[in-house]
Amino acid sequence: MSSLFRQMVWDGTVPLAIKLAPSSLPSSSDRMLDTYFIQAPRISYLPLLIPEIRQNLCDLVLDEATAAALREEDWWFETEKDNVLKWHWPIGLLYDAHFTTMSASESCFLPSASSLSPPMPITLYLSNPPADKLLLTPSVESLKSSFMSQCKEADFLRWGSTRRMTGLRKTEQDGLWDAIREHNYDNFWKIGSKILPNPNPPSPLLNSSPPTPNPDGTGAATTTNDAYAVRSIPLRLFLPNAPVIQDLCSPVTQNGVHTTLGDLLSASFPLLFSKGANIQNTSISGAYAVVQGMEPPLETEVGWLGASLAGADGWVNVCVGLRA
Amino acid sequence: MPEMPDDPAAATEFPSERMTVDENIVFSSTFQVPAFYFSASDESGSPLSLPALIRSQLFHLPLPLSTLNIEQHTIDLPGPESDASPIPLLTQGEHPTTGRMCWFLHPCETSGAVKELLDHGAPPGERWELHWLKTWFVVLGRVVYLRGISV
Repeated sequence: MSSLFRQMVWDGTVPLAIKLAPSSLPSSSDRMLDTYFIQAPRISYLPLLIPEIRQNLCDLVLDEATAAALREEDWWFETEKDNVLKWHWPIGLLYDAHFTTMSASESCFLPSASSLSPPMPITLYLSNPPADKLLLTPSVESLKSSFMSQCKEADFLRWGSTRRMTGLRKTEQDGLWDAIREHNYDNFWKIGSKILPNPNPPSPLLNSSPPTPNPDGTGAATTTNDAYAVRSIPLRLFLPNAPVIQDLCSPVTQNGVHTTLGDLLSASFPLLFSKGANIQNTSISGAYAVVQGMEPPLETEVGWLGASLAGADGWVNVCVGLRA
Repeated sequence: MPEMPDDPAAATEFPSERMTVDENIVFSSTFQVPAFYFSASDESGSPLSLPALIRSQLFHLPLPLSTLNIEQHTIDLPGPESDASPIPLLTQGEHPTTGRMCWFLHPCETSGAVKELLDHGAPPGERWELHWLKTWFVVLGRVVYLRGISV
């Protein structure tokens, strides 16, 4: 069951509408070719799209001399509201965060979640990147380094050490990143399954999970990949125009039951998500939460989210928005 | 990449250049310890490169530079075997509150260093959190020049 969702997350894409900034276009450019639409993988990153954008947009719009002189490390992306898009955020997160932020602004009433996803308008600038908002050294190498950092942080949160990540050989670590670049699901999960947790069938009992078979007979705690045995789910909460919220998030509550998304949201944002008298939590103010472009029911267990709806870097990104 | 002297204090490339350093101590949610975040720019306001930073007076590393793997975007300690993954020391990341990109000293190894000092030191005469934080500053001070630079 988890592999179904993992495949869905891997295959998930979002529409982007990329336009070159007028200020980046010399007068000799072909301005008839306006916008390049791309269906980008959620688990990928903007800089990885650059070769395709270069070939399909820049090379067509710009004259040969200008196109040849382009320095890709000077490229940067922005949304309509002058919001610089972070290179190290997965594209799916950029998309979800953008639309939940839009939903919260008073002048915008977005259609309900069940309708088609609109393309995200992005402006591409070819020079003068803002130094402090992007990666300090924009390059695919530093993006890879950032990705590895995120994987290690997620590993640490789950198990209290980065042993699983650092235990991988360098070729395996490189293999994870290469699989993202090449968008190869099998190559990714061949290595990913060593570090990312497996969910168990939902059960309110703490000790219902069978340990991973371990030939040398040591305790299950050192080898289990049980999603419900983690210390904390690597999870971040994104509110419109606010700092990212990240707290310890145990998969099991003090009462021994599995923590739900509703539990987490009502604890973090009590004014947006109230805890109902019964198990089902209700959102009273039109607030909603998006994970990988979907709105999971509030009864969804966070342990399961951590195993099935996390991004390639292991993080569950929850974007909170408001709907009229 | 030019040859770097092992002792950064012997580097003569930045004898009197001013740099502006913005230093923050932020609690790392992931590692549940304080982390040292900073950004630095030169006189013109341009951000300093990482190799330039590591050679500046801001750092006095207890290790010779030749043992480290210094890149434009990260500084790490090579792993114990040739195919082992490197241990990150200085990387870039988002400041947890401002969202700006900064460099930060990886907190992964900090807890261990603090614990070691605490285990070998005298019992605290004050609240343990304060004692822990003071010890953390001692660990930080081994790597970063914390006093104001006097001319």
